[in-house]
Amino acid sequence: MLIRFVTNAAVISAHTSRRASFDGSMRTRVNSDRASGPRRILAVAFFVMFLLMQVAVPLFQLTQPRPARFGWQMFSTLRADALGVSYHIEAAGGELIPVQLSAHFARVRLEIDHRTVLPPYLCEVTPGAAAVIFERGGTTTGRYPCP
Amino acid sequence: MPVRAFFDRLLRSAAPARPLAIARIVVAGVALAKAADLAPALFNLSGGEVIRLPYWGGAPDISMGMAWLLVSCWAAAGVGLLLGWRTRWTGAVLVAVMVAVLLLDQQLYSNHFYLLILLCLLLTIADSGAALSLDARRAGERETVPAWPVTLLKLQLSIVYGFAVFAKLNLFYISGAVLDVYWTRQGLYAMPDALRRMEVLFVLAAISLLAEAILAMAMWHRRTRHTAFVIGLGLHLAIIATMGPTWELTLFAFMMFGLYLLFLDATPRSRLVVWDDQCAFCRRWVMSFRRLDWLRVHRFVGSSDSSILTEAGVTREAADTAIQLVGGHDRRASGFAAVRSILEHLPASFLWAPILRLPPIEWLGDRAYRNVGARRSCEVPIRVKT
Repeated sequence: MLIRFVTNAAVISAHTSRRASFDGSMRTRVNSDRASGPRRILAVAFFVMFLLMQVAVPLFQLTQPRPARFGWQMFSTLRADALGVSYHIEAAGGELIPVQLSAHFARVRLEIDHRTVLPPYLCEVTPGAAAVIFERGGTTTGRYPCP
Repeated sequence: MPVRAFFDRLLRSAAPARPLAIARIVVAGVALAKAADLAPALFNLSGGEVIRLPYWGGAPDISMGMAWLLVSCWAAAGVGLLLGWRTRWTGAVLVAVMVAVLLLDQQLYSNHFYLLILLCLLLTIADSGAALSLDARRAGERETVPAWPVTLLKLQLSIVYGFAVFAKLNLFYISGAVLDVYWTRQGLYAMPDALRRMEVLFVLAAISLLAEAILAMAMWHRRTRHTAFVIGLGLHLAIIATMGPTWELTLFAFMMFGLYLLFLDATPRSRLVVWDDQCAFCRRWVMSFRRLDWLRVHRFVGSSDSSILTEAGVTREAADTAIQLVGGHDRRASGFAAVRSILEHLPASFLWAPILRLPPIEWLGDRAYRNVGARRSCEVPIRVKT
């Protein structure tokens, strides 16, 4: 189907474009070079592919956990798993050190699953860390033991 | 075959160059601001003090030199696009740099940044340097550009608002829980705790959904377009005032307003404005309108030119009594309605001017126009070049 679109588009005739000089006078010219086959094929191909991508990707992202990237899902939901979760590093002596997300992320983004990516990183950069603790509302909801 | 006919028509048609050029200036300005916004994150990543989250395993490390190079190229290409200097080249460089930054790390993604890249890409393809640019100064300004990339830009607006609605059709959003979390709790626009009730939040969520659904569709229809502009302005101002981060949301609003401009009926010199050129007071107003008519949609002519009166089908009495507008979709308007219609087609006022259509405002404006018209100072005849 796409090939037929492109082939059909190649026979489309020239279009005109108008030029205005700074004194306001007008002249019209036929832009025959613009009308040539390859440029038209490229134009139609780009138009179709761009539009397909811009519809298909967000459509697919609607089936993914939200908010998903490239899906125009601004302020669409809250990550239930991330809501109100705080992180603590458990030192070797059992002491709990609170973690500021903004100190460890270049930008705190909701599309990123902090529970997956943060604990291994904290273990790696914190000397003597025994584990990373997740808390919600003062209750421990998870524990990632450092290797 | 309808599909062939569609592409035939699309590729043949042309769009006015000036709205696209203004969209280019707005989007390039946003790109420069975004460079300033993302640069600290990029330098943070290059310093190795924060977590790295590349999209794939073989992604390059970000050195300080690379970060400086990217930010410098971004800024230089952004300035080039803003000024319309070798627009296609600077646009292409800007898109390439921004894509590189986007793909360096997952933390650098945001919907606004992704939209910015798409808009810069389409503006580059759309020959947005055809007007109001250094390119146009050098090679001559063009009045029209191919319409198909402009159509893609307009479709992008509907896609953004449309999918935002689809994504929000979930219990979290509809219940108002999302608004409850994001709505600021401090400052002038903080929602009082007494109002943070499910019924209130539900209504607000429904209104925001309806507004975005209207914006996705109403821009495409001439009759609803101007209403959509006002709704869009209100929605974005409300988002900026009540949610954060303010800076990012402001940039997003500017990008969208740049796209709104492409929906404006901006055929060059398609609207004839006949005014009383023997009146000093009228002259001041018309000069202001002319200065703000960046799209060059209007042709301002004095009522002393009898050939124009005949062409426009306007009597001298009518032209001397009130400003007359002929052409465009309004066909014919005079007095306050003409002023409102002119404002609706100026880039500086098109977003808010449709408010002047509201019955009480229109009535008051009409009365004020008549009063001022009756008392205006017209003692000094002035010849104005039309």
